[in-house]
Amino acid sequence: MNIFYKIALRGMQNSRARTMVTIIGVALSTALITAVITFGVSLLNYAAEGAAQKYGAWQGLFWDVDEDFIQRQNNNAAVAQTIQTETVGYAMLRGGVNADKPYLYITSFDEEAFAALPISLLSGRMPENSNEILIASHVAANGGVELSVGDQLTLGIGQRMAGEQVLSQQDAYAADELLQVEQEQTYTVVGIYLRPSFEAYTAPGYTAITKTDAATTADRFNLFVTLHQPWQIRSYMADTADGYDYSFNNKVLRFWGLSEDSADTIFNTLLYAIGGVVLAIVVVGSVFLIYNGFSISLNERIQQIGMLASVGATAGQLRSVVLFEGLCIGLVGIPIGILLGLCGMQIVIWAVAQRFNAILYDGVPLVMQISIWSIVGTVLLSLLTIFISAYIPAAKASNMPVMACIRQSNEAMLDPKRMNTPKWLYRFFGLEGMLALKNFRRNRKQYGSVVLSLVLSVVLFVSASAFVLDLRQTMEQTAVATTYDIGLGTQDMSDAALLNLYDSLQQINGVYESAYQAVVEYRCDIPADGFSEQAAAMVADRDVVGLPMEIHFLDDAAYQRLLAYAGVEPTVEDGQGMHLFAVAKLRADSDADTDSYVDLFSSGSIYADIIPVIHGVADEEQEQAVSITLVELPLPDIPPTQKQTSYSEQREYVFEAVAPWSLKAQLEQAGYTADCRVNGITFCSVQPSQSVTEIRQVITDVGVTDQYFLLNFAEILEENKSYIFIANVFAYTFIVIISLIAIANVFNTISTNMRLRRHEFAMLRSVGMSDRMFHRMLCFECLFYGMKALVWGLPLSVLAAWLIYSGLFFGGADTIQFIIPWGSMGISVCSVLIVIGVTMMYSVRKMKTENIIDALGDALL
Amino acid sequence: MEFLRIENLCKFYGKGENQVTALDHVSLTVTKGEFIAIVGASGSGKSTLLHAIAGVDVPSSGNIYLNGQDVYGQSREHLAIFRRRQIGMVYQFHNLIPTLNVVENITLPVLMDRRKVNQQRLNELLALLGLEERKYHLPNQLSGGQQQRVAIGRALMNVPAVMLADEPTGSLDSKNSYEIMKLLKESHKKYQQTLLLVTHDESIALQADRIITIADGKVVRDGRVKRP
Repeated sequence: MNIFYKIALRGMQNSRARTMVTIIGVALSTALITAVITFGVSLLNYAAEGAAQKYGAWQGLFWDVDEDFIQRQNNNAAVAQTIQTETVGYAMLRGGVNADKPYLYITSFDEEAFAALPISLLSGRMPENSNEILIASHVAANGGVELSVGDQLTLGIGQRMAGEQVLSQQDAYAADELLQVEQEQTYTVVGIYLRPSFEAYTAPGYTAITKTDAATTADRFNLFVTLHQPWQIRSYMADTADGYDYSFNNKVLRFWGLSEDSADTIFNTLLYAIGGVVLAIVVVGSVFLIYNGFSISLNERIQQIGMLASVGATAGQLRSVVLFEGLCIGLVGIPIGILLGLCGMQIVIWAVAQRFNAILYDGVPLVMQISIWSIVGTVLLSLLTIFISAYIPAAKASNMPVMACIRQSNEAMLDPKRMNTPKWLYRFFGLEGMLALKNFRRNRKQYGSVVLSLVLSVVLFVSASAFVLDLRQTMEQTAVATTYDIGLGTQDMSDAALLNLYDSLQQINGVYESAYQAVVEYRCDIPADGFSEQAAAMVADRDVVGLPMEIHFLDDAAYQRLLAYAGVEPTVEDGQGMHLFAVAKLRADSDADTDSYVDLFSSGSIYADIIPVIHGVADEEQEQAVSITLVELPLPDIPPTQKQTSYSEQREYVFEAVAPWSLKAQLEQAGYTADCRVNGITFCSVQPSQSVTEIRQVITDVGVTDQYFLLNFAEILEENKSYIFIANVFAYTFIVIISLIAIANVFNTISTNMRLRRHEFAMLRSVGMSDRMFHRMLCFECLFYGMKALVWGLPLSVLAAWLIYSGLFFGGADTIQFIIPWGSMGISVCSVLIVIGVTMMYSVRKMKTENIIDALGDALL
Repeated sequence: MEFLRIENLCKFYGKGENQVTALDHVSLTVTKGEFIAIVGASGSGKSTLLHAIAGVDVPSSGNIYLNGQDVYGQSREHLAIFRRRQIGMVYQFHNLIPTLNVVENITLPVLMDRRKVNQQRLNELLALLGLEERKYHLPNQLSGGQQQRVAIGRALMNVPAVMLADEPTGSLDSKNSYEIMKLLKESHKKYQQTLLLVTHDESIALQADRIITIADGKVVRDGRVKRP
């Protein structure tokens, strides 16, 4: 072996601790980069697969093509899979209120299409023949036409024409287009489903899906294409479209960065910006760590280079020594790092995979995706950093005279002014404090990286914690907290049918509590003198004020439970007819950030008339006098519904009454049926998912034909919890990574510096410094470094936390409050001092037992 | 009167076949106020002997008694205090603390004791050492001779009972060497200090009362200097 390589190897063997620290630094950095990239790639892959499961795996869609075109696509080697659906045609949506979307777009799916293009059924079932149809839920929400399962639709179906041109779903509605009706068809609505992802927002028709059978005779098709190489989809669609319209499955493509949807551009920018920032921080931190590992022993290396140069080594030979050393360290450190990174990530993925499955994409496993290119990139980056870090001493040494290298006399001269310390320091902290400050000032540059590492970690730790806090606040505020786990809501179901269904649902597994209720709209006429002073503005000059109110009719058991919970006596007999309990509060200050309410009425009970709202109008003929006792109780959560009352949410007051179910029949004796916002059944279950499946089965068995909403709120809550969990995993993985970088940097810098100061420590001990004084001096030094890191780190971290808060606030989360992250700041302060302290003490432990003369040896021999 | 007694002192470096004997059963006694020169070839063990006496290099076996007290029989804490108060050690390469100025380096043993610095003593020393003009300079702003004088100042500040000097003039020119020796002798006389000095320089050795010659870790000659 070349003598220079031998020297390099022996040098590494002799300074085993230094070599180990450098290898650990390299391994840790490589591990961090590998882990971050692998996690990112795995997550994107998971998201893409999940999106494919939810929206279909197709990438591009050709609209209204003919069979020849389909044949050509099927023969194309780039195509992995095609799915075709048949275009039945357009029909006018009678009663539709959206002028830009006046049609139903009827398409027909065969078994294969139903399997490949996921459909989220809200109620009912899938169509089984070409006479049955699924209607999208936005026909009601957006189109204003309420269709229910069981409805019969007779439609005049045809093509949209603009002159001679046949228009597709990709062509937005134009006033001068014509619907050329070709056939009439009667469909039975068998299910309501969520708007399909392939329907563009500008599409002129609401997609209705029927089932292809022998009777279906279409000559135009929609072709869903999946390529072997997803990133070719854009050029492929453009090149092969042959004049046909086409669109993309942006919900899937966005995870490959291929979506050009404007909303996805923001998503992509955000995704890549966050990913980029995280990666940049890790890369910079890692490069810093590797570089630090080498530069800390700069003087030692320069001395070695000087000695070699003094016996005639050329610049090229010296370079080869340092590069060889770098290569050796890389050969050991990089594979260990990659292995560590992959193993670490596998453990993290194992830990979080189950939680990931709980949200969004059930059945898509989160698995580790190893990207070969990212590993190659990591290796190259690490090697480059190692070489540059190893090369710097060689370059520096080549500019110094040989003897200066050996003697290390080119070290910066100390500035006597900087070494002056205030007298009070000696008075209060003794010689140890004075020496510590002098050392701190002298070693400013060497310890710069310690301070920087710590500042970086403090800022990242605190801001990541603040981010999690903000996120938690957002989640808590958006969380749908309900008093039940599963809600079944309807509007049209008769009370008898509801109670019948309630009885049928008593045997559902996991359900431990169930209740039924109805929310009915009334108007309440109250004499003006009943209002409180604060509500004077509402009264104006009227004698009687009519306030919209809702009455919650609860089943008797639930009603009793609610009153008992609120501590209210259930029966009040005052001989004044019917009696209700109500919550009536007025918002105190509409400008205030937090809601505070005052009483709407001046006394604890009022006598008023209630008038049922029938088809949107208060029917005064049905007016009834009631006495209302005003109480403070938590209003029960209502079953799920899409129907909002006209005044809800915006009004400045709350006026809602609760009544037992038995009273409903009493009120409706006159034979009217007041407008019902919702009636339904609520369940508390220990196994909400299983219960929902069983409830759905019972609904099918009973043959419910009314429109209903069945929602698993427990799942929604679980989803929110899972989002917080995932945010926590991200934030804390990030924090752990950054902290590891920082600890490695701090440990590396301090321990090497301590070893370099061996001689100086021995000098102090030779003139009588005791171990206790020595410890005190080092403690003061720790304090100085820690204080410096914290003086910079804490304000910066508060600033970062505020920036994150502002970002979220302006990004839409405008209900969250800025919280100074005292907790994480406290943890930072302790951690910084502990990390520095432990490292220093660890470093001096060996020195303490060392012979003074051995440490002084270099100078004495 | 016996002041320093060394009994069967041994010091080994390394282990097994690589073991080197630096001191081989050295025994000697020194009376108070004596000025002894220790001479010998390089690697003979003279510096090791001095370091052992100074309490900075733990011997492998044997004992050293100073004023009746077993030097290495004390705790680490007491040994540190012993070095600070009883011993004044001057190394060949000064061993000054680079962050402390001249005054702070000289008064270091006093500051370590958290005692008040005797300003009169300090000024006397600075005058004696010729460092009055340089008292606020850092070691890197001083010449080699000046740095050595600071080291001597530090050794003398506490008026220790024993002064140990390991080739104090080894890295100095003849003029500086003369000055340093003059200082050491003046202090030795003035404070009745016991002075042990390792040197290669015969002319310096001849200034002592007694010369001990060491070879291969053993005392091979121990004789008084006869003055005309």
